[in-house]
Amino acid sequence: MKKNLYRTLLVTVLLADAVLLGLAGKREQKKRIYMAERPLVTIPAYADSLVLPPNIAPLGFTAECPDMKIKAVKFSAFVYPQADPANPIGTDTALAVGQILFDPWPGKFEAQHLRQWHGLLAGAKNGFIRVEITAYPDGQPDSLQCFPPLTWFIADEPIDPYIIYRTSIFEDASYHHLVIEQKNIENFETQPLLDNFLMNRNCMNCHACEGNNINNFLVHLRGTLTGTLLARDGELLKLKIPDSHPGLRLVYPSWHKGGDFIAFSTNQVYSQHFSTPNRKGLVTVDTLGDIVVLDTKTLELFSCDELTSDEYDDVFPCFSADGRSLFFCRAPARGTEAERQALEKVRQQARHTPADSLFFRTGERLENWMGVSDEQIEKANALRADLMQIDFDPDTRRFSNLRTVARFSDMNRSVTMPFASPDGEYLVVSVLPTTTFSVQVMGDLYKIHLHDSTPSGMVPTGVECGYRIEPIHSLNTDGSETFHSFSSNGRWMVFASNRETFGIPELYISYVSEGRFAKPFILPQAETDFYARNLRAFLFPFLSAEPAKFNATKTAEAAHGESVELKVIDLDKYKTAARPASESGP
Amino acid sequence: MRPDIKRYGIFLLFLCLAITTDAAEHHTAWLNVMNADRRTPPRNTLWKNDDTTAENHASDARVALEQNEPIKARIAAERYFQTAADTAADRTEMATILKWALVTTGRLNEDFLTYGRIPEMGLMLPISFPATDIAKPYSCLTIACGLYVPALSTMICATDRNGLDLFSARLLTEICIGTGRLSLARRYIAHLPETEQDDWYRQLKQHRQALWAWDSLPYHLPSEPTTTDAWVSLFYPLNAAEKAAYNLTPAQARCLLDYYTLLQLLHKRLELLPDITEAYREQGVTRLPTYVQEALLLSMNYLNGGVSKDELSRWRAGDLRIEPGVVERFERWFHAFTALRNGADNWHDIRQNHGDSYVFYFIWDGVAF
Repeated sequence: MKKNLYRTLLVTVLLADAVLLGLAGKREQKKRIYMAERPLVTIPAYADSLVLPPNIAPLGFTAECPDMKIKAVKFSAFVYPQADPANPIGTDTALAVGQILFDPWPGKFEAQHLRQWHGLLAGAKNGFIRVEITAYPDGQPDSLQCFPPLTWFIADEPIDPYIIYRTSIFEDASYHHLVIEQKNIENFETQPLLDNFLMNRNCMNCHACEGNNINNFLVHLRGTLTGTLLARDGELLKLKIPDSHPGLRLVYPSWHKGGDFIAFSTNQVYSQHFSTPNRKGLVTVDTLGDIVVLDTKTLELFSCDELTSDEYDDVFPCFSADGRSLFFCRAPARGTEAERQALEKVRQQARHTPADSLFFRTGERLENWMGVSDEQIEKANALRADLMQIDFDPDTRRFSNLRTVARFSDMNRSVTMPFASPDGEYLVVSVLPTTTFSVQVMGDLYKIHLHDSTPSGMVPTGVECGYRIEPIHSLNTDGSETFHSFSSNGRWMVFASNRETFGIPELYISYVSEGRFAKPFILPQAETDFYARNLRAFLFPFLSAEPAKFNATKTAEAAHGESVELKVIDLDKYKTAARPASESGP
Repeated sequence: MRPDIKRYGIFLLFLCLAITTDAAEHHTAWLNVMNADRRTPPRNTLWKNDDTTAENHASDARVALEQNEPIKARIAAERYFQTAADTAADRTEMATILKWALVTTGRLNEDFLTYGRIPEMGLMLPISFPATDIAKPYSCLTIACGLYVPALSTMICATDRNGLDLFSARLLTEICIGTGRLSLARRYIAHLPETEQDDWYRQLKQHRQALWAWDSLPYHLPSEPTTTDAWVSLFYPLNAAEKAAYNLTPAQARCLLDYYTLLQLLHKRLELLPDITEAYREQGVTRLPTYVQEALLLSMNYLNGGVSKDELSRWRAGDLRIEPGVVERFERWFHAFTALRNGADNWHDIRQNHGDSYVFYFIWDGVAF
């Protein structure tokens, strides 16, 4: 009996051991973490060695592979110790100054996440943060994988905390719902400034700020509430072109330093969709216009002979940083000798230039494009703009000394959307194969040094160009990069690019140091999977140092309210109606 | 009557009844189309309601479109036109659904003219940009005709106006995958119910693997050439007179030719290879650069669907020959690449052994590793 009891006890103990060992093994298995060889591919694809502003909101992301789920992300902050004056050799060893762990990785950043993140960034100025991601295959939460960390550097210079942009569906033919929004890039707070649901679903476009001040703002309204909304120190005013000048339209604006003047082009925008059965080609946007300037104190519109020539069409004016000159893009006008010469040149080049070079897809046979004649192709190819400059005296409102900055047409390129850096050192422009509208998948950003005429190798011999030109390789991709603008301190540039999908333009920010541009990162959003689902386009970004004093309700009231008529000085050519679109097509 | 005969008789009766019922279910649709007036009410769910109005038929046609059932859609659309007023609002939409059904079932040529009495059937595609309220049938029709771009534009505009419903998300996903817009497709898939997502992701994955092979080439967007590149490509290749005019030394001409060749090969302009080879021959070059030889092999393979042995032997015998070592390496690559396409896990080997070759650049340039 006693023997049986011992035996039973022994068996029980052995069984208990087995159970304990099994459980321990299971626990051990749970702890196992595999090291992945490559970094996790995420949406959006954040690169290593990004440079972030010290006041940016956290950068959210999700795994690119739908079978992979991110479990946790650890951000560790490091700084480089200050060099000791007594010991000038110093040390290269970075010191860890803090870390935060988001476990679980949130679907949306909440207030507590922002607090933790900003606390970390505050200590990491001039240092860097290391990003370590742990993820697991879907349905196997115990098979954790740890990925090689990313390093993001934290700059010393902050970025203006507000970004203003227009959002719409990404198909350019639709403007059913357009919103101009202001987003606080420190905490994701978003506020609509204009919403066309409140404005009879009008089209509204081409907004611009004075410097980096959203309260000096301008936007055009089309449709039933036609006019231009002008905000001066947050006070809204609706402007109207007098009936005596039915052909005059105010389109692409540029504010003069100080806000006393705004330059506009007077384009007729006309688009044409070319497509194959599978691909949409170029949307040719014909930009016929002159340059006029609005005096915001007297509400007078004026120009000069050089900027209203019938021989040329001008577009995308841009005041220089000091306000003493005006840059703009110029192409031959339709039906002129200049256009005939451009066409002849395109025809001569046909042997070497693919006939469909205006399309983003090369190698496609021409006859596959639907409804496009050779002549249309040639005309579209001939529409290439050069960069011009004219001096401007704000005291006398006089222009002088018109000159060519760079003849991009001689390089088989077209230039568009110049934007001067705040320090006046250089211009950033969009360069396209043809036309002047770069929404399509084709624009690249180039830099034109305004105080450097060293030959860059980019400009062939014999091509007229007084400045050094170079592409900004760190920003350009096979997608389109365009609609760029700078922060008030000139250290950050924001631009739109459709590189993720080749369809949806989204906003990117790049650090600028001594004229060099760091790898850009996409504008952070509160939802970590935002860019895995986003179907809205973000365009025309501007950075602002302060929030807007107006909102969507106030702008809607102003849009529906009375408008003030502008005074037009001369510009008699606009006393007749605008040229019909049929004349302006390619 | 003998009991077994009686049993067989009853069995036969039931069998006939069953066959008749089945036929009625599957084929009355066509009979109804042919003999609309003599039709008995079929057992199709489309005719469940005896008091069917034009609105009901229109609704049935829309449902059939969304469920990708062209026969039902055709019947419902026909019934609609039999009952709808001449000024009904959705006639264009129903005509579009009818045309989609005809195209999808392969009956367009046979049956299209029989609808001459319906004015809305006069044109294959609606004129100009279609109203977004008929976006779905219009898009289905254009896709059926192989015209993806109009479908994409229309659907995007429609979703801007009406929101992204399930059918629109599916349709847009299909269009995006079908046209190689995989990143965009992924975003639409994210808007589908999770139960559906796996299937679409599988399709996406398969499509991406296919695209990584030959099919991706036309979709690849080459980087824009620098302006110097554009300048060089403008005036080269030169003829003798032009060379004389530019007064180039032989070394300069060779340098320019190499530069031009690299430029064109980086842009994957294989069709220029005959001109380029001729230019090398004119310059008295005895050996083509290796990357040009690889490009020539690729050109034979890519453009002709396989290396032509005759062409290859001609090249081997010519003054500017493709060297045996280059051919062997290309063949090794081709076998490895074929194995990869068939599912072999040899990607790292290919990258290691052929990463420095032109064929590798030609195929995988622009692909994020």
